[in-house]
Amino acid sequence: MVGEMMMVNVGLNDQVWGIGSEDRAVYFRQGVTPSELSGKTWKAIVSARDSDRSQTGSSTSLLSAGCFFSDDVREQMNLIAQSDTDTSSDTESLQVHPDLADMPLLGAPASVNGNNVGSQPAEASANVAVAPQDSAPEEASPASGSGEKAGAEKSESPADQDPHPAELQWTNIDLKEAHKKPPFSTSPFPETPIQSSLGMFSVGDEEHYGADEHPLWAWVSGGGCLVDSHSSLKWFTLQSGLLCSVQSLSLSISPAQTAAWRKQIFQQLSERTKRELENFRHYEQAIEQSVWVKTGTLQWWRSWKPHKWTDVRVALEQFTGNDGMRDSILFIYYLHHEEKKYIHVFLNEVTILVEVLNDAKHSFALYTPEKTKQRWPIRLAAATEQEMHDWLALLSMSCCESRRIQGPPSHQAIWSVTCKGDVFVSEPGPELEAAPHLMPCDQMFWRQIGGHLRLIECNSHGIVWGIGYDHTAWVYTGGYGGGFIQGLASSADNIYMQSDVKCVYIYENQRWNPVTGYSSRGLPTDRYMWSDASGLQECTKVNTKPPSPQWSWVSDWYIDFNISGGTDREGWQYAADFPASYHGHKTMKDFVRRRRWARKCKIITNGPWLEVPPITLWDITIIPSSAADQEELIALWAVSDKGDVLCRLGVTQQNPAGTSWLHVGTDQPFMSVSIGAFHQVWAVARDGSTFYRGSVSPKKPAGDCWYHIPSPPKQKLKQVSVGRTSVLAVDKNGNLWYRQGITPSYPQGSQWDHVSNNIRKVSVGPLDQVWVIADKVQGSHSLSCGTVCHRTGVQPLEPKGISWDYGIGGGWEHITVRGNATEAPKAALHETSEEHSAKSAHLEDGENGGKGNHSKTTLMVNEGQELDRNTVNC
Amino acid sequence: MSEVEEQLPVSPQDGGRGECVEESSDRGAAVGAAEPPPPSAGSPVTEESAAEDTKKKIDMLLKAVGDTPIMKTKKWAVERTRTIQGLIDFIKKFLKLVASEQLFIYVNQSFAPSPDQEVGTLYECFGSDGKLVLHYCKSQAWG
Amino acid sequence: MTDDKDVLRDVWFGRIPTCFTLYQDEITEREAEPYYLLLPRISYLTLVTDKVKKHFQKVMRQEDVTEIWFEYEGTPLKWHFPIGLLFDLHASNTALPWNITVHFKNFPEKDLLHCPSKDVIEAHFMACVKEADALKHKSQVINEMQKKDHKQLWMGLQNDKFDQFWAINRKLMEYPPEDSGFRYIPFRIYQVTTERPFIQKLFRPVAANGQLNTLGDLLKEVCPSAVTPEVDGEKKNQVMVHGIEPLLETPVQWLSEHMSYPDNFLHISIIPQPTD
Repeated sequence: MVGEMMMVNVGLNDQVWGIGSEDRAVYFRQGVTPSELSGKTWKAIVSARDSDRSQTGSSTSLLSAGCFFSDDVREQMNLIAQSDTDTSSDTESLQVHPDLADMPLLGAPASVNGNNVGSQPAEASANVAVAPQDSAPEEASPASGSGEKAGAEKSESPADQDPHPAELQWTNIDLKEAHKKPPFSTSPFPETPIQSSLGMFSVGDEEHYGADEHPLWAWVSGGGCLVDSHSSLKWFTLQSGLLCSVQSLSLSISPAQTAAWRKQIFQQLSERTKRELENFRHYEQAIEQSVWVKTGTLQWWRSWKPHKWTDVRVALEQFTGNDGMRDSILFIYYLHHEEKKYIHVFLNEVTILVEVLNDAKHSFALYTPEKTKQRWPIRLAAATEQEMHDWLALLSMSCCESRRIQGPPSHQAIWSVTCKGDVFVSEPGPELEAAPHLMPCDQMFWRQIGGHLRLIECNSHGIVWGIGYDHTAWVYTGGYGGGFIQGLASSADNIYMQSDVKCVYIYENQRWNPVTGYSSRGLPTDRYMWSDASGLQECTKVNTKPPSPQWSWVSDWYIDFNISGGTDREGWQYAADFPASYHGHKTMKDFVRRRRWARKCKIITNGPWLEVPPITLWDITIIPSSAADQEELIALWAVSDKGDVLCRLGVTQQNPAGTSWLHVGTDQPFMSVSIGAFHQVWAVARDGSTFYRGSVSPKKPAGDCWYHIPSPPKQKLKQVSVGRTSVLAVDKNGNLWYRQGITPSYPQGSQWDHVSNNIRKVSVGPLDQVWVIADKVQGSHSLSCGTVCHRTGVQPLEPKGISWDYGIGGGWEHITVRGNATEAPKAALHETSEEHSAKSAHLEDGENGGKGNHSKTTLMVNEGQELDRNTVNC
Repeated sequence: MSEVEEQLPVSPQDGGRGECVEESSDRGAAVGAAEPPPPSAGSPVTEESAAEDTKKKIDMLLKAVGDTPIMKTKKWAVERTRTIQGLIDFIKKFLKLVASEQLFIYVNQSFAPSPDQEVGTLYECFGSDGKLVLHYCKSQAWG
Repeated sequence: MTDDKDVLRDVWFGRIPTCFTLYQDEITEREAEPYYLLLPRISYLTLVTDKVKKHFQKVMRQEDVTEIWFEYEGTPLKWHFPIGLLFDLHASNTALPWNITVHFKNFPEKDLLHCPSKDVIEAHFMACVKEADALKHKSQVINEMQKKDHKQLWMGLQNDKFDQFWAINRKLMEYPPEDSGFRYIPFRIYQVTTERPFIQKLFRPVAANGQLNTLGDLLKEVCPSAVTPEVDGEKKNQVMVHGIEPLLETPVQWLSEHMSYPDNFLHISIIPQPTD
């Protein structure tokens, strides 16, 4: 007999089982018959993997995407986590949804036990602890959920030198479970139900051809298993019919016959090829092979554990579709246990390509609607920044081509900014806001525009302004492309140099000890003494680099006294322990302290932006829709970085940059301002209080005075947005509020209604549509922080909407939908009549104030009608 | 395959009016096709009975999908050699649809057979309980 | 040693050298040269003849061009039959290249279906795939796939992408481990000599006693005239698939898995034995 077996066991009717000593697979001795007791050959029993099944459409996650949104009003919490993370949480957070840990499937049961097996003492209880290698600490999530399902029936000898990453350590041999199984006589794998419950592991859209990992066995007993040696056994290959049929044949038909018909086929096929091709090789091929456009090597962040960067070959291929249009596919070829596999993406399904902030790699993420739902994009990394930009430029261009998008964004475009400062723009279709067939916002296609900004605001007539991290104000020139997007994808003119400056922060951490007081020597478990905000990464003054090669230092390290929580005179802030909430004064209980150091770095890029000197800004707002007349003045308000409220004069479609600033008197610094379609101006001061500016009109662009509006109870607002008539605001605890009770005669409204929590920012558009940047959104594969969400069900009678739809994220900083006035004509007419009747009713009620208000009301009604007519015509 | 008007048109299956109302129970090897008899190598299926088969009619049930008008008579006995195109033309006439309007026919609510396919073949392969159930629709229902 | 997977490749990459000649009665402005092309056996005429159309339209006036159609020795060629099937059925034992005549007028409405666009070919192809899966798996596998998988099958065929196609098609070739094969075998048997377009019936790959049914079993059951021997013991017919004659002992399950066309059907031609 050949083969090295760790153990051998003889079962009923002399059938023999073994466990291989090298590969620890379960083997069955094939061909054991009464006349041939030693059998013919060892065959490994193979378990099928269900993971090849293509994923079904919607994410079947245990947690829904919106599980972080709720109706509770969030109060001031013990901000442990908050103070420790900068808002620049990037998309690289390696939090993986615990359910989809890639465990090897459990096929054949651990012990093929007969009825009277001697008692194996049950091992330690099913402590299915995942011990992955190479993965970040966050991933130590227990796979116990799935372990339970399987009835954890494996055993592994502790001294096992495991070639695969050891996913399961101790499991328990469930003897009771084994009893329940029927004997193996005719049907293999009785535990099909268990298989199917494990069948949920989808590892993305890879194609597999062969068997993958198998569990490592330690013991087998064939005691209860009756195998009829004449029946065809199908345990030795995967479900694949192709291989299965051959195997089963070899048992039921004699070898001689098998060979004859197959030989015939092979022979005849080669004869045919000779006959039909040999003299005709000079003929043209009927089908053109698809053309590859670019190939290269990159690295890919593997979708299954252990997550790591894997070398892959990448190819972008173009082909011609049915209608003659060209489309492209991106192929990513990789090796998995020495088998060549690939994943592919149709570029017309790609919704966005976005650079990802990652210290070590030049990486970018590729999303499709599906991957947006999962919160798990395809992440690729290049060796150099140039290579990454080459790929990004080419892929973006191909995506735009396949969607027939070219030229500058329209006036209705939706602009957004990532926390990395990258600018993206999306063209809304009428289905984005028009019920009932709302387009899900994970299907929005975003393309990048050059430049580096912190926020952007726009209106529906092409006025777009941006503000950089250094508070420089920029006005959009109408171009497109820029940045790394060159050539045809970039407009020839209207692209100018653009720069921005931002700070990089590191923390100097110290712990107090009785002997020397505060010192840089901490406990062994402490964070690095020089670290990032979370304390997990070491960042010293020397080793900290600018975010990417495009950035360069323009200052030296300096102590940052502006950190939230306050500091003492030397810049220290104190806390009981890391991490905790820090405060500026030292108390007896504070055993740790930290100091933030900042250093300025600058990026020089280009994009369709022109600087608007000289005042540096913090916030900006433009009246959502206005007359289409090119000459008409457009209302634009801003808050400077010092907190002054300003009004820009002379802004027209011809001259979007305006001419001069007008100061609006305030007695405290402000931080947010927004102007609605009827010149309603709302603003939030730095102390969290809110104000309404009275009597703003084209004739009186700065209005007359501030009316204080009480904030929601116990909350401090931080941002406000006004659409056509809706006013929404976000407070410092992430609650979103809707101003109730607004009427033409009483534009300040009467109270705040809570809409949702989990919100960072809100943007209300000219149709009163509500879009936000949400704090946390759960995907089926991962969590994203900083995600674009769309409030659905917003209607004139239901301005707060009903629920959320989830779009691109995490890592999004800002969004503005104030350009999107596209509306289905029917809806507009409907709204006109409603608005009209509502307004005329209020006219009867009498007005607040004197003539001024009355004229304003009339103005509003008229404007309302005009506006609607305009939007219908749009 | 040609559907000339003067051929005997499909006649509705109501209580014993025509010779076409026949149960499909005893037709050679083509019994209600869900469970055909196991193929045995020596079964004497002769040429004659095969020819007879093509003359007999099959029972068909037509179901409307979506907002397509419903036919008052749903059960029909149809010659085996009638094609899908012929059936489509017939249904369109019966429902008084304009020639330019489209009509799609589906088998098993999953695929649309080719217009030149014979209903006899479809009956053999996809009939159940002695009849072939077909769904018809003015728009594409199952891709 | 050749592997079963090589059969899949041989089937996929089979080519028929063809010479396209414009029908003499077509009105041309100049002499039309014949056009030579290698046609994929597994594809459809109207899918792979864009070059032919362009070539001949260059010498014709726009107004004389209506829908293109093809004919071989007087028989209009059905575009919705795979090319390999058409060749085996009509011209397999003739000298290569295959001579096809190209027409732009007088579309034979009674014999051919119209093919106004590639979408029609795609719809027909997908309908065949679905019909085949209805027989093999009660449509379970095809219905479980996403739309993009269906699209990938079509794109693979259209662009001659073997790997792309088989990445999805292999799922249609699987069957549950407790069975020995598909539920029924999707097949169609064509004969030029009969009136009927083709024979398609229910046929199980495995007999009641567990034995695998062979090609011979299939023919005996559904088309016995194809295999009854002539009086003098000579075979009177050739049973051809993809241009070859498999032995009648070949298991039909294997044939279905390895020698089906991309539409997942086994298209079998019964042609009279060539007389030398």
